[in-house]
Amino acid sequence: MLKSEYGCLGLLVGIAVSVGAMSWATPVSARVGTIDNVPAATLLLPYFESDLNDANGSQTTVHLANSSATSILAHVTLWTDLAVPVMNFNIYFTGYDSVDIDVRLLMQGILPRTASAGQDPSDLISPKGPLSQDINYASCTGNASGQLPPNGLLDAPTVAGIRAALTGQSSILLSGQCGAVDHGDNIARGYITIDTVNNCTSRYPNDPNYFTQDITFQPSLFGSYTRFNRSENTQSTENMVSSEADGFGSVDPQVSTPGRPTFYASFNGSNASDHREALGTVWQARYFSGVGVAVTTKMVVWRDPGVTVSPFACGALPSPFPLTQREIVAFDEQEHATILNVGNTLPFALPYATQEVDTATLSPYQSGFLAMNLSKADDTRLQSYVSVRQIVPGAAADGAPAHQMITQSQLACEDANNATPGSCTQTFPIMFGRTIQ
Amino acid sequence: MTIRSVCTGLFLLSLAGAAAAQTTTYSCSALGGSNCTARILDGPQAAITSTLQLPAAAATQCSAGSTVTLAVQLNIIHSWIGDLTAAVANPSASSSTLLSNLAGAGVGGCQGSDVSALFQDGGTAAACSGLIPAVGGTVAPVSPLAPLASANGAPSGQWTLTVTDTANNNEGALLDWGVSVSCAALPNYEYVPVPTLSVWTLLLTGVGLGFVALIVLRRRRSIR
Repeated sequence: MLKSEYGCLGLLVGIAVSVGAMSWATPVSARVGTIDNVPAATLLLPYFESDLNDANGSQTTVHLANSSATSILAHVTLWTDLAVPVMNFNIYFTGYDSVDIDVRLLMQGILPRTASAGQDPSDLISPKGPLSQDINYASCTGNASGQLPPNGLLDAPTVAGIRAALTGQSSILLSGQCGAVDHGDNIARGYITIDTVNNCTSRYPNDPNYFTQDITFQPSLFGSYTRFNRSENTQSTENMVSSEADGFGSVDPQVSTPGRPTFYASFNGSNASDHREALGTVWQARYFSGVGVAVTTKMVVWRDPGVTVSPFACGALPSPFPLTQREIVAFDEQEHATILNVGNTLPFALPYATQEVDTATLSPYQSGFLAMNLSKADDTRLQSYVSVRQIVPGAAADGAPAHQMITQSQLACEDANNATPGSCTQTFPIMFGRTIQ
Repeated sequence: MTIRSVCTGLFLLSLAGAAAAQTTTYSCSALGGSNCTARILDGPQAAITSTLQLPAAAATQCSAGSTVTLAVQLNIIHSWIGDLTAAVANPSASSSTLLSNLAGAGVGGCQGSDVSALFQDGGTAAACSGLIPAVGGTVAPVSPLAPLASANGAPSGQWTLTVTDTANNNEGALLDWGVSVSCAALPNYEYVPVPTLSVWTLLLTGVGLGFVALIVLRRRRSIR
């Protein structure tokens, strides 16, 4: 090969590398129907705790950000561990803005204060940067019930009502009824949803008007949450769960076809007006328990009850709780399997809308993996989310999503495929429990 | 145990008793001050100020000769203490900085949460704890509080606390604050009065002593 040919070859290789590098530098493309770690229209914080007795006990903080230069408005809803909404507020983001939420401070009536251009003429409350947009949401001015959190603290009765509602006590916010499990430890538990919206709304997502008048489909929100227990010297961080929407420049039949599962299908009659992807139904998670070091594995398990849950008389669980599960199979390292549902020994292993469980309560083995089909025992398809933390006292830990084996959309596809062979182009594994049996 | 050690112990106890401080705390909420519980505005918004009116009794609380010690109790809930500065000023506008962007392990200062501390001259330097409160116990202010005191207590009138959040993100609130005045009487041995004698007393004493000396001399001569 001549010297000039080497030069030409080098040039071609260089171009190829450059093109390759450019393709790697493009943003990760999101795919509706699977849980991607990408900016989304809805974020789910699947489980939080805030110890109301001990600030150094279990606490949760949240970091949210807007991935786009366009300013956005987000609506935050706190739900109890039985899926009863008890608190909501709005957050304004300038372009590329970030906002922190400390759940411990929420429990003291301190909400993150933000303001769009109309409420912040001096640009001091939500200052914009040179690359970020800052616009006015007129609905956030003078709208007492849905305005952006004002410069103050929530009044004492409201704070007491929130704390009671999230700890399973009678709450004035729930007309004296209850909304959560009473664990008897005065720790507020629940989950949080955050949606992009177009106005300062005070509606909860279980109001059907929320989907026709409030939500938007901007793929802009991302964030993470951190669980602390300062007394136990543990900390773990994991990403918020992204539920992407179409309707923002594209239409995907998976999330726009009435009757197909979407994230908020329980609240809008499955009419797909939320356009948000449903989460998974079958999960696999690795676990260790006291192997080598003092490690425990804790799973956060969020489950959509599938219906709107109303406040209820204290002292009893409302329908549909406790939730059953289709199947949980514990494997050890040699693939020995124990099916928890055999003989109905553990019919309600994960009974609430959200919970944290020590995997030692689900498996007779010290280590291995768990396979979980979190549809109901009667095979009613329910979306869910599972994440795993390996906890060693004194060490920081990162939570990670469990492996998502089958999504609710895929199950719907399977159903459709059964009804109309060939209508579903996706393939997916059915590999646990019942196939072993 | 020897008699000597027992006596030494009793002596020290008596000194301690004599020097025990009498403390009165004037809290903002108890006195009906302004902004005693208030949102701390996130940076770069303006500082918040809270005021309390110290009663006249505070200025004359300590007896003459006692030592006046001033302290400020500060209770703040905040998720990033390194963002904060706090200062207190007396009615004459003399001020002391209590907290000033407390340093922590990394950039951005102390990442800890909450302040629930008594700021007092001579306290240990404030340090960033990983526990809540990040600043607790009795700690030294950044600049001394002693110049804010008066001879017999704390000047009456309006005292002002100013809290500033100097950085964006992370929020909090002032929960309450107050001024404490401690009066420590000095030990008894320092108060033993030195007797003062008048001129007439001295003259009479001198005449008396001279008279006694004269009698003694006359008796000696009569013996010879």
